[in-house]
Amino acid sequence: MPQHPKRVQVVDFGPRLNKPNVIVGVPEAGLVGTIACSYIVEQLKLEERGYIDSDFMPPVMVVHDSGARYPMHIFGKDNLVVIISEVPLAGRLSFEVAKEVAAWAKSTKAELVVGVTGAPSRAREEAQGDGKSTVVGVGNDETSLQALQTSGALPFQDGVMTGFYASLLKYLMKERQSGAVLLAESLGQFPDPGASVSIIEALNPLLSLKVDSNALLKEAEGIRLRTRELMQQTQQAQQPAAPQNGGSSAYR
Amino acid sequence: MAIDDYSEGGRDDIDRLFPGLFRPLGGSLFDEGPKGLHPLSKVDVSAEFVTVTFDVPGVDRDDVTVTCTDDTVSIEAEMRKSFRSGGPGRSESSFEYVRYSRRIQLPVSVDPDKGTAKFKNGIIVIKLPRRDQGKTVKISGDQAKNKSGK
Repeated sequence: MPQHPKRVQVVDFGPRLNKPNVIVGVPEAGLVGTIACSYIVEQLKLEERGYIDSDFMPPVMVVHDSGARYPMHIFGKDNLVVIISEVPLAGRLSFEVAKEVAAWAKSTKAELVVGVTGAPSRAREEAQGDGKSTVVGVGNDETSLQALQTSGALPFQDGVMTGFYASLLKYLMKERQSGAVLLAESLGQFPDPGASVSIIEALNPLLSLKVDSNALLKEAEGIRLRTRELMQQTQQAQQPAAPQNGGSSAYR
Repeated sequence: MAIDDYSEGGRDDIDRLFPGLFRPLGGSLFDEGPKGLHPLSKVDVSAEFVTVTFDVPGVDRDDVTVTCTDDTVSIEAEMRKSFRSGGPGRSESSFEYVRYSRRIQLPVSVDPDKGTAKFKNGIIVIKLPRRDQGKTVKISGDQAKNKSGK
């Protein structure tokens, strides 16, 4: 029986990794994961070491300084890898990317894979995005659950997750790869850098990082302006029926 | 009012934080009116209210004007600093915005005289009571029969 070619390719041209920690951020509620990941990349001066491409990807290339680049990037330094998407992942693309990221992480013998995202919350909407957010964590095995205890994130005791991060956890479990998802209470439809700060504050102890989040808070207004177009695209990608269309949610 | 620029100082800081990521490619930004950036918005309709929320980072409360009619909500807001959105050939073709401007057509009729608005953290929430609130309909039927289980 002929084998189907992979529909998603993870291309990593960086130096060999040895049990890295991997952080994954894709555009979802409040762009919390993408804002947090981009900030970490810049603060820790991580270098681009690969990209993810797919037949299911919309016809988008990102242009930076006149050079065309894939919209899903892999950055890294030492044993930290950050994967960021600059396009929303809808429909089949969402779970195909999750599947290949899980397989790739397993191939690197990753220590822990951490998805970071926002979870729209009424409390956050009522606070109008002001102040910090509560962060909850979900792990897929004993190792990740133990690790999450160092993050300060509250346990996500019972509930349902859908979308990209649910797929990521599922495929990490299939690969027997330790994984976790941190969800910060966030605005649903507006960029929420404050929630990204809360994510970074949970990641610091979890992965022994030293990322100073002060500049992110200071530049929050400009970041909200700069990311509004991606937020619009993300809203469109998640409508009308979020779960079927690749949008994510988590609720208790 | 002195207008600074996110592209000089502020914008440079942001570029350091986000080197190249999320840079708009032009696209829909060409559709916007000169100097009037469309803010992100959302409309929630409940049984009693229509709530319209605008994301207007970089403005002060006193620089926001909200106008409501029976079926529209409009916002005009002046930015503290202008925002330069990089289009293709960023330095030559970028657009500079000094204010937000948007009018939203509401899906149901509202009473603009009874509206309230609150502003915090560059987000404005406008709550308007619906005019066409539904009335509870009494349901008749064989309730007694069901209750008795016969």
